[in-house]
Amino acid sequence: MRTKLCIEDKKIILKRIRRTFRIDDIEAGHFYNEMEESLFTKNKNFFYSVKYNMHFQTDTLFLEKVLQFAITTFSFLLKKESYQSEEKKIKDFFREYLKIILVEPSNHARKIERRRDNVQNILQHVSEQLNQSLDIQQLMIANISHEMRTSLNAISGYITLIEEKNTLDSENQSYLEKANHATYTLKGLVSDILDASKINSGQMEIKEESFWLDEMLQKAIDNITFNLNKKDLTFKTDIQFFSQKILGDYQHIMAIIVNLLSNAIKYTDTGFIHLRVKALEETENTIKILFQVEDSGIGMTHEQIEKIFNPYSRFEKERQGVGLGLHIASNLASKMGGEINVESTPNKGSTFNFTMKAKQDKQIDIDMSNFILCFFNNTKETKVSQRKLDFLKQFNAKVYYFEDEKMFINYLTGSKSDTPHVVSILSYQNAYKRFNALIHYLKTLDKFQKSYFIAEGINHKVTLNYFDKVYERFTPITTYIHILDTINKSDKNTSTPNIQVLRILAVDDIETNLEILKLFITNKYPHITLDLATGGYEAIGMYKTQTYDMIFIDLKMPGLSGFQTLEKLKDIKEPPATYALTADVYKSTYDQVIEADFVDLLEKPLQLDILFGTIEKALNEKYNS
Amino acid sequence: MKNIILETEQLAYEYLKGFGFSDEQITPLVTLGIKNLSESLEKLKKLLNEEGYSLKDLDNILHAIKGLLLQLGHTQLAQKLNAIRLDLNSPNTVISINELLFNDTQEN
Amino acid sequence: MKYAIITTFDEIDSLDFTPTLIVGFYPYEKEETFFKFYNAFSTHFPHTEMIGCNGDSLIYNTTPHIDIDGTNRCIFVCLDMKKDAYSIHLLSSDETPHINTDKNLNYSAIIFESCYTNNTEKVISLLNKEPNINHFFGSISGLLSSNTTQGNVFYNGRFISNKTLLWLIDEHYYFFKGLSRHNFNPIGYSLEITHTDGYKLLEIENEPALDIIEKMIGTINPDSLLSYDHPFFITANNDAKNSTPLSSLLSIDREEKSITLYKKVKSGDKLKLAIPFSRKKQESQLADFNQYYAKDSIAFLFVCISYKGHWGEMEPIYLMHLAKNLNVPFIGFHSLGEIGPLSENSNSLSLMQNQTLTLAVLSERLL
Repeated sequence: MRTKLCIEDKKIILKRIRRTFRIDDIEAGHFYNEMEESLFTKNKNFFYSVKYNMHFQTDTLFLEKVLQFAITTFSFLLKKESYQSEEKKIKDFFREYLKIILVEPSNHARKIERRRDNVQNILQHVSEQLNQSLDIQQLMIANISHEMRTSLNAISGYITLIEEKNTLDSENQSYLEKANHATYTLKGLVSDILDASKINSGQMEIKEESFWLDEMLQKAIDNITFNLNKKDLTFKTDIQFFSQKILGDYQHIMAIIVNLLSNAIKYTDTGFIHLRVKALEETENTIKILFQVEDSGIGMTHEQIEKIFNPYSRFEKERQGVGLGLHIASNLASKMGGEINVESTPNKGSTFNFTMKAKQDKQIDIDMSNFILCFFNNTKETKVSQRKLDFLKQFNAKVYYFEDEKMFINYLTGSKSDTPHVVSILSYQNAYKRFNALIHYLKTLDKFQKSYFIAEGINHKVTLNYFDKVYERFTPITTYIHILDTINKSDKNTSTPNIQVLRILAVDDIETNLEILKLFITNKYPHITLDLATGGYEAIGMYKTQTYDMIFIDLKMPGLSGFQTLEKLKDIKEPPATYALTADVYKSTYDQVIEADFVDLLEKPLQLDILFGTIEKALNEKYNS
Repeated sequence: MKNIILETEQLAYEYLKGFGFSDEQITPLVTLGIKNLSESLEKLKKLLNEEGYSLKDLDNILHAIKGLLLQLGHTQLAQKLNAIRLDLNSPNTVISINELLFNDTQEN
Repeated sequence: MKYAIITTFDEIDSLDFTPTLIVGFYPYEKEETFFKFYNAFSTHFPHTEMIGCNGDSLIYNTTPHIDIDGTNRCIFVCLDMKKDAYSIHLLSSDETPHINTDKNLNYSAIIFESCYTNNTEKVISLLNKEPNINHFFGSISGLLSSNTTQGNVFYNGRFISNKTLLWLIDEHYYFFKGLSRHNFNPIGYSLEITHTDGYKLLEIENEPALDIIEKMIGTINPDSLLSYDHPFFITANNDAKNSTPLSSLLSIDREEKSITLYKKVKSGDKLKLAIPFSRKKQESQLADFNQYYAKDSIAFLFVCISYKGHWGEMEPIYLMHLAKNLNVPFIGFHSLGEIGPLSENSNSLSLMQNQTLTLAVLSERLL
């Protein structure tokens, strides 16, 4: 029985192998030997070798070569008379060979294709499921956070009412304060969750409005003061004076800074927190600002730093919060064309840097020519004061500046000196009580009836009840501007002429009524912000934390009626123009409405021209009076 | 009740479209309006089935429904409802309300 | 460590050392042949112990590595291991499994299970908890629910069903190292299994199981079943570590709308669908086994029966690839469940899964 091919045929086939597959003698020899063995025995190694090479090699023409070799060798061997007795074996061999190189891969490819179709199917269904889920989730989050905010506003409102009654002892008052703060924190958390959801679904809008940085920073610091005071930390600020307003998303920039400060407080148990704000670059129209928060807290390792901007990442589960803040903050920052980065050393502290470019709003047209300000500063920190004074003088304000206490008091008490509209004192902590007593006296004089007395740089709780305003750090520019407004009511256009904003509070127990009002108003006035309250208490809660330019209140509501609601609002602060809404209009209604200090009564269904008329009036009063 | 709701829904669409709002703006608003209306009507129904309900409560609910109907553009029904409100002491009040709002067999 | 792979009687005669332990595998219904080999070994080497089990389509140390031609040979590896460096235990399913180990020693182990039972999970759990058992591997030979796939383990002349054979090795002298890998990724949400009956899924999310699954993956046709295209990741309800072993589909019942798995499930367990890796990823994963090369070592390879369908005609090629790159001779069989660690970490748990390639390399420790 033959077990090998003839030597001459072997040589021919070897040559063919070398040429077809471009391999050397040794490899060709191995290939040939395997082929021969599989041809004449039951050994199938040759077929598996070929199949293996077909699968794992990278030559795209390999199959062609394999086929070419099969066909030429097959026809060569079959033509030879010497192999006639082995014809069946040769045919079986090549049948097997072709089966392995053609049929099996083809079967396998069909299987893979079927499998791929199944996978596509699964992926599509899962994708649909996920999208649906996401939609439901978004809706749920929006609904739940809305409901939660409604309730929280109401709770805040009720707490305010209790506080006003003043019937509790100081211990219970402090519990109430804590409860109020807790609702505030919860509102913040709910907002965070809603914001994260909005950001992740691309719904977060970036607004642009003109504002003073120092005022925004003051608010940001106010926001975190409560938590700061709970810990024994030194809080220092080094805030450059910005002599221009900037155009940017006020709420979101503040939110980022509040987040950075809150984190610093959360993760620092002893030591300090420093807030530094300065301009990095300034051109004619733009300014690049750095907000830096440095702390001496627990710090982070390199691995932790890599993860912190991910949602829900928190270092220590014992520290409060859901861990969304930095994720939202960094997303917001990039949406505004800025960025947040961090440097940190474990157990030493961290420094977060938030940089952003903003347009400068050069259109400030303030006339301070009749404005007299008097500053006293006997501390060493005079840099910011000086720049502020230069700014005020730039707008023709008359500025007196004293570093000597005696000269300062002489000026104030002298009969020939003109009366300052604003007296601002920055001094050492133990001096303020003295100045408080002085102001008590000065206020008894006719001369100072309309003057504002401001204390700056107070860093501990001390009762300065004769000062009109007390600031822990610095007086924001807006304070002077508001005082100027109040004094001469001729604030000419302190914001960009193009964007006139109003903040309106609407109160009605039926949601549809509120939504319809919102639709009508925002359709015509897209820059107007409408806050909606579905009851008197909720309105009180909102009113306490926001300043409104006008208010709409439905008269007939369960619980607190519209009349009662307005009374409560008046107790908190002087309300802006407030309009009553009702579907019942009788002559007596109109009289009652006026007596209750509503500006006017609007009948439901709302007549648009009348509604818009009230808004035009409010805009006029705010920007043009 | 169903008839009233369907009718109001239709009218609301046309009414709001008349102000130039798009479908995307109108649809969620009408959905909410109909929801509020349904809830108020259910509340009214429940009140009418209670013994010894106060006229003040009845007046309040009717007022709310009237306001909602007006906002959604169903002025005619709102006016009819208000007419009933003017004399809540009448022995026919409940019958009139039922006929107006809860009679689904009636063609309105 | 001396070793030799034997598949014929002649090869027994030409063994040039006296093995202390022989591990043998035989195809289903080949007990008689296997026993003849046992007798032949006993005659030559009266003091040698022999353990083994049966499996589907044995795996050899030569191309094509799988018994494609149905020769149904038996395969044995003869090992020259120190007698007191290993021990063999039979764990009964009637009692709570218990192993006595020397707390001063560390161990590796292989378990051969005749069938998947409740005891299997208890044994796996026990071995995972034992602090001085570092690595363990294993395989399931048979199915309880089928008559054709009867599982047995073998120990010194006895075929035993419904028992677990544990081969414990003192790591001071020898050790097992290896890996268990499948080719699937979980996808989509976890679905809750709400009604079961042993190995059967009756309801998922309170709907008929087959309906829910086919809604997601399309109609399960017989080809898909034979190719084991749709395994599931199942997390047990009370699993604190949240591990997600892969489990194959055995069959479906269109009337009952049920799905039978290779593994028991309970209500409250969670299920996730699986999608296969791309070819590139499969091959790259195969390369993960290459790190277990060790000189003068022998390996056991337990390949899930699903690969006969899943890789089909390509299976011999992939095993050739493994053989060429691993460079450690291996023997094994196609099993109905494999036990092995999921990662290279020494702390990695061993799980019972389907649709894996599980490799256990036996090496002698160089002192």
